Amino acid sequence: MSILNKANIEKYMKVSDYNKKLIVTPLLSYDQIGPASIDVRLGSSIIIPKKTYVEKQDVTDQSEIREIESRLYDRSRLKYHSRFMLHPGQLILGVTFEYISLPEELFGTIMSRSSWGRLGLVVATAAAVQPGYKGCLTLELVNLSESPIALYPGLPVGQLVLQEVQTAGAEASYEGRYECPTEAEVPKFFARKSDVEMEFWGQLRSRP
Amino acid sequence: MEPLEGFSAREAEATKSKALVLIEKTLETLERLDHREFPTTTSAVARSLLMEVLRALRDPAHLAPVDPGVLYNKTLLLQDFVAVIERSSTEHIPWPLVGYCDQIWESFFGSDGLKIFYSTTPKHNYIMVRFTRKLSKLLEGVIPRSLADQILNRHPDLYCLQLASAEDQNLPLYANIGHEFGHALYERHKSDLFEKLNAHLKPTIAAVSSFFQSDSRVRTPIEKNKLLANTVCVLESLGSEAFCDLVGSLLLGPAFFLSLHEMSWGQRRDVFRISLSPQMQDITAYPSFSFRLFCASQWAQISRFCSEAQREFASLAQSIKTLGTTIEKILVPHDSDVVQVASRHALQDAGIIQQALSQNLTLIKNALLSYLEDCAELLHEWYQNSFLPISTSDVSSLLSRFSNHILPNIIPNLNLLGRAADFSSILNAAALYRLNVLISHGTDHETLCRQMGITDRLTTKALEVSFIHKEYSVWKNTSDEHSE
Repeated sequence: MSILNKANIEKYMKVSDYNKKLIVTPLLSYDQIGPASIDVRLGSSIIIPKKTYVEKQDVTDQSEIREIESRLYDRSRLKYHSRFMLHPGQLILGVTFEYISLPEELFGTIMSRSSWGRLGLVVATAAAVQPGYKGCLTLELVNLSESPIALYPGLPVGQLVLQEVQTAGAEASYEGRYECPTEAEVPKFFARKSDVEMEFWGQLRSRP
Repeated sequence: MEPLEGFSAREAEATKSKALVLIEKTLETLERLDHREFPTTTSAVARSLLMEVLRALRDPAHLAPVDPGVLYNKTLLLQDFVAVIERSSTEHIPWPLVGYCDQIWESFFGSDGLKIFYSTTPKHNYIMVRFTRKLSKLLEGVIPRSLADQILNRHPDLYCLQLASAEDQNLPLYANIGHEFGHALYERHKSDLFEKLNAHLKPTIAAVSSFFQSDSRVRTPIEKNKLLANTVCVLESLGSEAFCDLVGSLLLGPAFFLSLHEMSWGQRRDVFRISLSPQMQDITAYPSFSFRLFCASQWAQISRFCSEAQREFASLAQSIKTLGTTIEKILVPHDSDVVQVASRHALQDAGIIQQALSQNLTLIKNALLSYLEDCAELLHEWYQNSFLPISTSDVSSLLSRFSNHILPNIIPNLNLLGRAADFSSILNAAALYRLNVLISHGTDHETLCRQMGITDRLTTKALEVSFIHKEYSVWKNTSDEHSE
C-alpha cells in the first residue's frame, strides 16, 4: 500500500488488459511522469459559479439543489490559446485535460503542483480518486493569493499520486455519481442512494 | 405640424430613415459580438466585411440614388448574414471540430486561398454557403458595383459551413461535413467537372430531348428548349450532389456511409427528389438515398472495410465484430427508384420532366456512375494527400477503447505515449460504436441513454485531445530539432 514510483506507474501503464491497466491519456511527454506522480493539465471545460441569483447553497433540499443549478453556474469552453483570469478568492471548477482510468488496485490523490501552490493556486479540495474510476477529473481551482492568476488550458497545474490498495475481498469499485465525465461537473447531491440521508438531516431543521 | 396628407410625400424619406436606424442597430449588434467566442479568426473577418458593408450603406454619398424601399428590404435581408456570424460561437461549435475542418480545408485550398468560417443552422442539415458571393449578390442595386467590389476585394473570399444545431450532440453525423466540403471543391473545379458530366450525359440528354420532341404537351421549339434547359440543370445538380457524396466517402469512409444511412432513417429512400424553380440556379435535385448509399458504399470501400474487419475486429465484442463485418449488408436495392419533380410555378413542366427522367433513370444512373469514376481519378490527381484510406486496424483499436469506456484518442503502440488518432478514425469508430449501442440497447431506455451519453462524451473529448496531441507533437519535434 505504498505510493507508486515512476517504474511502478509505467508498469501499470504497460498492462494490456484495459480492466487492469492504468490510463492517463493523452500523455504528451514522458516528462509528465515524475518520480512518484503524473502531471495533469488543465482542460478546456470550466464552470464559473455565479453569486447573483442565489441566496444560499443548502444541499439537504433535493428540489432546491436541482432548481438552482442553472442559476448558480455558467458553463464555458475555453480555447487553448485563450486566457482565463482567476481572481483572488475565486473558486471555479475546471477539468483535467487527461482522461483517467484506474484499475481496482489503485487509489489516486490529485493535488497542486508545488510551483502553482506557491503562487496561491489550489487545484483540488476533494482530492480522492476511487479505484475503478473512469473519466476526467473535476478540479476545484481556488486562488488564495492577493493577485489574479492567468490560466490557460493545457497548463500542467496538478499531479496525480497513486497508491495500491488491498484488493483481496474487495466488494466493489467506483460506482459513483459521475460516469465517464469529460467536462467539469457541478456537484451532484442525491445522485447516490446514500445521499438520501441528506433529507433526514434537512428535516431536523424544522424541529424547535 | 404638417397635415397628414403631407406624409405620403415624405413616406420615402421615412422609409430611408427607418433603414438607416436598422443599419445603425445592426452595426451595434456586430460591434458587441465578443471575438473571443469565435471558433476561428475567420469569423472576425466575416464580421469586419459585414461592418464595412453596413458603413458603406449608411454613407449619404452612396445612398442618394437608392430606392428607400429597396434599401430597407436589403437591410432586412442582411440580418440573416448577421445571424450567421452571431451563431459562430464556441458555445455551439466544438472548436476542435473546426480545427480538424480547417486542416481539411487547407489541404484543399491552401492556407492563403479561400477562407472558411463556421456557424450553425437551426435546420436539420449541414449547409455550405458562399458567404462573399451571396453578400455580393445582395448588394446589387444598393451600392455602386465598383464600391462593392472594392470592399469585397479587401477581404478573402469567404465560405461558411453551417452545422446542424439540432444535431450538436450527434457527433458521428459530422461525417456529413465531408459532403459539404465537396460543394466548395465542386465550385472550384466546376468547368472541368461539368465537361466530364456532359460527356457522360450526352446519350441521356439525347434521349430526353427526343422524349420532349414526341410529347404532345410540348407544342413549340421554345417550350422544348426551356424544358431541356431545365433538365440539364437538374442533371447538373444531380451530378454535383453525387460528386459531393464522393468527396465525403473518400474523406471519411464508412463514417460517411453510415451517417448518410442515418440521415435516410424515417425517409423514403427510393426517390430522386427534384424541385424546379423559375431561377435555374435555384433548381435542386438529389439522387435517391438508395442510389447515394450504393455509390457511397463503393467509394468508401465498405467491402474492403468489412473484409478487413473480419481480421482486425477479431478480439472485439461479438456484437461490434458482427456489425463491422456486415455493414455492407445495410445497402438497399436502388432498381425500383422513382423520380419526383415538384414545382410551384410550372406544374405541367414538372410532370413532363418527371416522366422524361423516369423513363431514362437507368441511363442517368449509369452516366452518374461513370462520371464519378472520372471525378475520383481527378480528385486523387489534384489532392494526392487529402484522401487517405481509413485504417481498419486504427478503427479497431479505438473501438476496443470505446467498449471499455476508455477515451478513443490514441492508437496504442510500443511506447507509452501512443499515436494520436486522426479525425476520420475517431469518427469511424464513433459511428460504429454508436450504431452498436442503438442496436444493443433498443428497449432498455435507461441503459441506452447512459451509453449514448458516454459515447458522445468520449467522442467529443477524443476529438479535442487528439487535435491538441497532434499539434503538441509537431511543436515538440520542431523544438527538439532547434535544441539539437
